[in-house]
Amino acid sequence: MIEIADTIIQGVLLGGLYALFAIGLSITYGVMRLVNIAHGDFLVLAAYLALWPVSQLHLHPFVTIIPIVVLMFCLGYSVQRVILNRTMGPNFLAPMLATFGMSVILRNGLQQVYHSDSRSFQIGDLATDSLHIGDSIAIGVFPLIVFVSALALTFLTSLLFSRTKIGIALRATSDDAETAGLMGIRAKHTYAIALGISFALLAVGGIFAGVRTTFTPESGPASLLYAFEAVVIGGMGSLWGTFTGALILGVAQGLGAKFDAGFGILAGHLVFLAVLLFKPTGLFARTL
Amino acid sequence: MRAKLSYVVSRNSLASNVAVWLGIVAAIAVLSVPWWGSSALMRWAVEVVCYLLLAQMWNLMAGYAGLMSVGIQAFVGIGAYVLFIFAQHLGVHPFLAIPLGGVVAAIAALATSVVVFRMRGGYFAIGTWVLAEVFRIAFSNVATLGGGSGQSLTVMTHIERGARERGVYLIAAATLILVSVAINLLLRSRFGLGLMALRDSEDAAESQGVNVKALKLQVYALSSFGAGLVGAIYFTSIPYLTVRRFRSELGGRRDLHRRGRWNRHGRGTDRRHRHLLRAALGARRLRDLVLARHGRGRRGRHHVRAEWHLGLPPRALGHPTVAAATPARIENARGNGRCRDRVGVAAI
Repeated sequence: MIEIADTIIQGVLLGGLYALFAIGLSITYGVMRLVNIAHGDFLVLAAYLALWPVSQLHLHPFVTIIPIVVLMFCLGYSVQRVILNRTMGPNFLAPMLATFGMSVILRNGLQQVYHSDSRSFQIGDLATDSLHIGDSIAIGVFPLIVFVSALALTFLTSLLFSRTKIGIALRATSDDAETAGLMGIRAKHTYAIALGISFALLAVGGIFAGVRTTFTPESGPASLLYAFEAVVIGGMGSLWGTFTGALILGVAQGLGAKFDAGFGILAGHLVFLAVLLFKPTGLFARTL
Repeated sequence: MRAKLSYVVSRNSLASNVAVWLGIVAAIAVLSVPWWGSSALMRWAVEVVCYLLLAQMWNLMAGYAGLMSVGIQAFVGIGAYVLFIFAQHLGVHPFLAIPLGGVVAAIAALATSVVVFRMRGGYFAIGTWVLAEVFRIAFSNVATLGGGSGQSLTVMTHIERGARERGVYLIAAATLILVSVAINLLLRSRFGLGLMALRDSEDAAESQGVNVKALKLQVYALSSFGAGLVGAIYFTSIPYLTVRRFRSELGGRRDLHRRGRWNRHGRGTDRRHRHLLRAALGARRLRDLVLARHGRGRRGRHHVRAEWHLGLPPRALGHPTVAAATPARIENARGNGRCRDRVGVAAI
């Protein structure tokens, strides 16, 4: 019994990481119906961007988070402004194919520059420190940091959407870009902000993922799938739904892996398919 | 009084007639390759045919029905695994097992459409991808099918090499011609008319009485059938199969060796290969068969590239039969004169 509780706790903590992957995807889908296939590859890119300051300047990986977040925000803003805005329209295929292309370019580009060796970030004792609860449950400090950051960032993002001017602009554009345009909201700028926020959250997720496990230029698609599954399980366009979906996914993977080591990721996929089958709108669907 | 027609229906033009005759000439030329082409040309052509077929299937599905799937590799893989199950484990002649690959892929597509057809647009795309991942993980957990490291289609060695190459080539070429003709005829039929209406506007097609849902399902099953055929044909020409081979044919072929993905034991495949290679190098008699090069290649510092003099592709190093290649077995295979051939080696 206590073992299962332990597995669930570890799953929830893992889900925190997936939430960081997923919230960006949820935002871009909610605001501009963009399915960003390169989402996972940009995540890996963020991790590789942090690699240089960590290995050459010997900075702590956590210190690099802020500059990388800023960098990724700018990158997201420009990608939307320069490339994706030209493809936005009634046809969802065009922006999606554009991101598919970016995904291929990024993966092969990273392969060329960094080779396919797997990399990771070292954070010393922090990686192995844990808090003990009772005799058999130990909570890793690092996974806890990740979880709390995910919680805080989801909270901040939802505040951004509900309270700030830019949040109102984002929601208005999501509802009806044309009418929002009449009110003086520039859709192109708003979309770019949305992708920027998405990339900024990705950057945090990418660096944490690089600390937790290793990454290679090829690890993007797996992250994309987890993020996507979390979004669909939670229901499209709901930030807290996405967060909960990520936790469910993490727990499913944990329980699956407990059953059989090769079964973990499959269990996550199966939960996703089951949600699609029985509640295709997701568990907590509502509009952003 | 003669009623004057206000419009003319023409089903062909000079250009289309010329195109048909050119097509027939091209088809004859393609089918005659085994009588004048080298085996290298045929092997290359089979690969080209496979990509062509896959592209046609994808175009049918995404271009006409608007089903933007990035999971078609699942059906390529199913076709290939069905080929292996029937040919390798149940003793069906490999060439007869190829259509079975297509049929089972189509059935799998219909069965799984219940889930993936709940999504639309971009979400359908990633949903099909997840489905492909499910198939990949599921297959790689089946030990009799070689698990994660794959297996070889050793029954192909029962067919004499020349006949095998010609057979695979002719099947591939005939499939390409048949499929191309069939797609053309299909697009000219009522089915194709509905399909084109669907392509132009889903809502308008629906309102004109096109059963959009059924049509999409049919197209999905049809292109999965084609993808299954491709998988089966592809792996009769390169009779070595792992789950990673069919992971993303759409994104371009990738060498397994280069991937360095993490398997469930927490070790990269590269490292596993290196481990196998080291074991192989340890055996004295193997040393003249294996050439290992350590160096800073563009594939990474620790990359170990092994080239088997036998013509075995590097990725096959992960294969259990290679791991089990004791010197005595290799000598034996050499004695049989099979060792120059990929299939022969895999059959050690």
